[in-house]
Amino acid sequence: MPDTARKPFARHTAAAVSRQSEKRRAVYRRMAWLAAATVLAYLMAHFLVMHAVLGNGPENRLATTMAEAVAIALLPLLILLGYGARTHAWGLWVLLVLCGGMALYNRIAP
Amino acid sequence: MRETFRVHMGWLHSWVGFLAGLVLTCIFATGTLSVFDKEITQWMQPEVTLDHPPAPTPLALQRAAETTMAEQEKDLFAFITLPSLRDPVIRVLHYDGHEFIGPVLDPVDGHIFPARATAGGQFFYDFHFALRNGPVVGCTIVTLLGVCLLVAVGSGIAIHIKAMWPDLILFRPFGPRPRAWLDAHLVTGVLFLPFLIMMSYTGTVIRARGILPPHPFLPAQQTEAPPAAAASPPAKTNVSAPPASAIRPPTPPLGPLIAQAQQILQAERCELILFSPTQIRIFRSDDASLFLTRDLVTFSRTDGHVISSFIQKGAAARTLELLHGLHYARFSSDLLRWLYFLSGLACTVLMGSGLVLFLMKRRKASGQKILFRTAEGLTIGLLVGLPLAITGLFWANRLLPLSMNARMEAEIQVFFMLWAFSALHGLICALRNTAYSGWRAQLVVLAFMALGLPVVDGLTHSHGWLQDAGRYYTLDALVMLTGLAALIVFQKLRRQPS
Amino acid sequence: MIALCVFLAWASAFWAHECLQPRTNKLFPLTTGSKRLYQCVRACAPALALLLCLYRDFEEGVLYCLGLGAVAGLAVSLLMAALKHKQSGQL
Repeated sequence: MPDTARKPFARHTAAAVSRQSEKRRAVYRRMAWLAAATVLAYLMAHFLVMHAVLGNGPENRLATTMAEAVAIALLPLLILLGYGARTHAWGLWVLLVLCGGMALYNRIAP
Repeated sequence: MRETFRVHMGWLHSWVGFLAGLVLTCIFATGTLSVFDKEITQWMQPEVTLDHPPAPTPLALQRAAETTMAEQEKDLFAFITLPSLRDPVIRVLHYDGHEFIGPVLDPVDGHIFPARATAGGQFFYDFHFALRNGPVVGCTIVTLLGVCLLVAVGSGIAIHIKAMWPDLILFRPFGPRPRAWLDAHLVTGVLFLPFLIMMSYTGTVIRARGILPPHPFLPAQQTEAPPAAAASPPAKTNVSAPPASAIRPPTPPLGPLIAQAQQILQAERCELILFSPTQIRIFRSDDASLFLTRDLVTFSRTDGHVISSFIQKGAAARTLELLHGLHYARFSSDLLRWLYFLSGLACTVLMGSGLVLFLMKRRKASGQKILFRTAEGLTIGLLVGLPLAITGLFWANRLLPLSMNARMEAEIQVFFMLWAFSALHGLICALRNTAYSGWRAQLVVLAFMALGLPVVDGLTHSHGWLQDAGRYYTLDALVMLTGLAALIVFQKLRRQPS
Repeated sequence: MIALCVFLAWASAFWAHECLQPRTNKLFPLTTGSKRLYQCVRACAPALALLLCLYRDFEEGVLYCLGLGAVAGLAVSLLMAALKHKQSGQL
């Protein structure tokens, strides 16, 4: 019979330690998820601004500023979407598709 | 460990809210004070009398122009701000890297008031938008924190949305402490949510270029056309100083130019007059409407004829003017400005209560950890230290000798020294596990300084109390209220065990 | 004067809302007629406040409305907390 079965206190301590390490792993997972969502959301915002620059020219400050206003409104929403929508990571997938689509669109039709 | 949507959002809200909130509380507090930056400057310069009509005479304008030329001889890019209802004096200002400072002139005869050198309310404005770290580094940090705030607000809404309607104004201050603090956080958050979202969003948009530069990161994305200089009306900080050696022609009388500019811009008032070697630019007043425009008329400096006018039209321009106008809040309406002030105070309370809640929730599990104690020390230095430093700034304004060299810098040093001492004291008490005594000691000092400010103001005989005294009564009363609040909190903490 | 009316309109709306909540009903019970009246006030007072604000100043009316509403909500919240504390102390 293992020692932990004969010693309930040791079993309780081992359970606490494993709960702590499980909690730590969950926190690291959340941080990684948030970092990924932030990077993708930021890229999306950047591509939005670049779309205005490429489409209207760098001299058109008004168009660029309007694009910045739209990008800033979307940035936190996209971060929350990427981070919050966790079932099958669909939030991150949506961001990835949006980013890719925007990058392609900027490349093909500036 | 449960991995539900609310738990995830709760984690995000707590950590982003706390880490960003340590600086955001300062930004919101100083922004709230910036709503009355002109009035604070008037309190800090009691030598300037304000009982004049806001229309400047030709003599005063001529003297203002001469003073501006004299400042420009010293290689300072000086400009004129004309009198307004809020600030019925002429100011000749230049940017010193942090604030707009300069001599104050009487709008009747143009004589320069012997006003004491002080940063005034501009100090809080500079701290608010740049953390006194300049328009590049400081503004970028503030803009990033603005995005963090929007994320924290969004996650907060996600957590609380089900209870938002039934618990709209639920507040239980006499209940258990964590519940009372949570209710304070929720009530201020929900009731002032439109204001909070508006200010965070507009503030972030204003400096969005700092975090979303309009050029590609990768060489493959480069456009073929080289970037050209954008044609836009000059902002205060963007125009470089004219060289001292440039020969400057005598300035034509400003009165007729102002009248002409008002006619062309269809404005009741003009506010800014900028000078370059060949041109005079007169801008529409900021308090004309909700929309913060940079419409201007350009005159020739040699003979005063109109060169051009710039009036932005179109939906995009108006939208941006509205976003700027909502944030800068340079309205002429007193009631609206007070509503902004109260809303800003409420949002500061929202963030402060959030910081306290974060510590309360983790005290049992992590109270002995060094990171927790550091966080608590920093919170003491922020929630009590910042008001203490602000009160200290007002004390220094009244007590420092008027003829002192570098007086303005000395006032600012007093502010930062007091804040640093407070933060250090808070950290030492928290690390020694005597955080409660740290809170109590600092609250007593804050109460003493805040309640003592009107006494200092009276004893220094800087001004009269009968004529033109509204500004003194108002600021002294608000600071006294802060002192009373500190005293009440101290009494509550005294009843609790350390 | 209009600002005061707007403030009172919002305050009455918040008061009505809080009185209609089950937790307040226990301390301050309402009749069916009162409930209907409070529901009416809760629905109509904010709309009246907005109309008054837009009448006062069309450009800045929404800002006045929201600002005065928030301050009114805070005032009613504090008043309600004090009244409930007093009432529960007496029970």
